[in-house]
Order: sequence, then structure tokens, then C-alpha cells
Amino acid sequence: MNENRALSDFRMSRQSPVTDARDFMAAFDRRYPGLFQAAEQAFTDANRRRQLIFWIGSGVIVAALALLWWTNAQGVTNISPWLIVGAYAAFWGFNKWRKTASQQAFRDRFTRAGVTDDEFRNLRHATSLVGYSGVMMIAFSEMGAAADFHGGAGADGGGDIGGGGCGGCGG
Amino acid sequence: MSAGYPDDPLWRAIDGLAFDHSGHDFTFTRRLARENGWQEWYAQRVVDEYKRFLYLLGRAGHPVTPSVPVDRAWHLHLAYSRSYWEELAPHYEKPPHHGPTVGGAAEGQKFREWYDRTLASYARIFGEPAPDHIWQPPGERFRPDQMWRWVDVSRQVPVPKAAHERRRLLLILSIGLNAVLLAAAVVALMSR
Repeated sequence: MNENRALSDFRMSRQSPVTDARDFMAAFDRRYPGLFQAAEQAFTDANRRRQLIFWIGSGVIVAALALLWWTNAQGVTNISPWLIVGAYAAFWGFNKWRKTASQQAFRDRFTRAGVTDDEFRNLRHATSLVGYSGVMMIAFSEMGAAADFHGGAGADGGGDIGGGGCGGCGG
Repeated sequence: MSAGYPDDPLWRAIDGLAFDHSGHDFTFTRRLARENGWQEWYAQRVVDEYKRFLYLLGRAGHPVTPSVPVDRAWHLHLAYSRSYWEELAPHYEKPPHHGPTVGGAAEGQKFREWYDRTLASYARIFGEPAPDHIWQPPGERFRPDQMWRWVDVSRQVPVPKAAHERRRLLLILSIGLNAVLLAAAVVALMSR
């Protein structure tokens, strides 16, 4: 079978869609070794950093708003709370921009490796079927494509490789 | 890709091994994925690379050392002793034994050298470099601070160390932020 054709013309059977999706993922990795795993890791790391900054920033702004409201009520300060509401809106917009940029970076990584639009669409579909969800759904949702997701299939978690183990053997 | 190996009877024997019997619900690949917390597609890829390792074992012409994921497949295959010793081993000139390290710096150095030679032979025989998401670079393969355990995930929750450290940082930042806000409130009250 021509693997290039299989990747771009991937169709799941009704009988075993998860198995087909898993086979597609393995075939994709044979053609683009390590690409998906590296992109997944990079996006996951970037997403964690972005969310951490967003939640800390949101906490600071909301707390500052509460403090300002209270000090205004006490007559200690006389600053418009809209100033902080505006700051929060700007911060929210900044976070949204970073999210979109990281999604685009995820997509660009595949484009640079030569992955076609059809292959990418099939990868997105297969990924949803073999059990990825959450962060990967965010990664694939650039350009309003999240509606293509069909929900996870309850497979095991992500591949986490490491070193160690035992040595080898005599050839 | 080099022309030789696909026609080699040893490769044909290895490639023809039935790791996943169609009648079995819990197959070799599925067990490999579950025991290592991998996606099944990744386990399939590790089995691909394990087959190449088995070929190197017989044809590299020197001792060989697997990557960690490939070693996980090797260990599991050894547990399927009928497949390993009755279906695979007879195709080798010498029994394909597995030799765990006996420890010590000299052993570490020996396996490191074998691993370097294995990667070189992989590129020579298969005509492409070993994929480094399955065959880690030697520095990662032999990272000295590794500590492996078999964990029952129905009772333990493995958390990546980096995520654990991020949570700790978040907790410290939250405590610090609350302290600053409390101090600001006190100052505001006192300055009335």
C-alpha cells in the first residue's frame, strides 16, 4: 500500500474506527518520525506556561479590583475601578492572542515538515479517536476546526519515554 | 534504504513474527502500551523498532544495546517465552540472550559504547538514522539520575516532576500575593 496515499485518504471503517485511527497514527509516525510527539510536547509546555500566567495575572487583577473597591469605599483612594476592568480586558485579549499564536505555531510545525492539509485533518481526527483530549483539542482547534472532533475513545494516556532499564547483550 | 536486509531470511523471520494474535483481546502491543503508559500507536512504533533491534542483534557483528522503549519491548517479549525461544531464537546462529547490567562505572561505559555502535549500525544497515523519539540520544539514554519503578496506577498517581514543581511555585506565588494584599489592606486602614 502506498503510505502517502493512506495518510491523505484515511477513512475509518465503521467496525473498528479506533483501531484504524491507531494504525493511522503509527503510519503517520513512520512517515514523520517523532513529529507528532514533539509538537504535542511543545504545545503542551507552551499551553501550561500560558495558563499559569493567565491564572496568576487574573488573580492579581481581580484581587487588585477588590482591594481598590474596598479602599475607595473606605475613602482612602478615589480611583475608577473601570481602570482595572480595562486592564483585565487587555490582559484577557493578550492571553487570547497568545493562545491563537501557539495554535498557529503547532500547525506551522507540521506544515514545515511537509504535512499536507488532508494529512493534518486526518491526524486531528485520528488523535481525537485514540483518546487524546483536552490540551490536544485546544492545539487542533485553530481556524475554528474544533467541531471536527468526535470525542475521545478512552485509550491510555500519552507516551512518556525515558532512559534507564538494563544493558544489552552479546551479539 | 540499503537493499540487503529485506531479503535476508533473518529479517523475514523477525518481520513475520506474530506479536498480536487476532483472536486475543489483550495483545502484546496493548500490554506494552498499558504497562508503560503509552498510546497504542506509539507501542506499535516501538514494536517496529524492536524488530529492527532484533535484526541488529543477529547482523550488526558486535554486541548491541537497545534504547529504553525498545528494551521494554524486549523484556515483554522474553515473558512471551514460547514466541521468543521457539519462534525467534532458532533463526540466530547464537542464542539471543538478554544481559542486564551488573552495575558499576565500567559496565555503564561498556553499554554506552555498545549503544553508540548500535546506533551507527542502525544507520548503516537500515539506511537512515534511528528515530530519536524511540532511540534516545546517548546522553538521555544513559542519564545518570534515572530511577525506575513499577507502579500500580490504581493506587498511585504518577505526576511529572516538572508539573509538581510548577504547582509548588503556584502555591508559593498565591501565598505571597495574599500576603501583599493583606499588607496593602492594613496600610490602607492605618493611613485613614
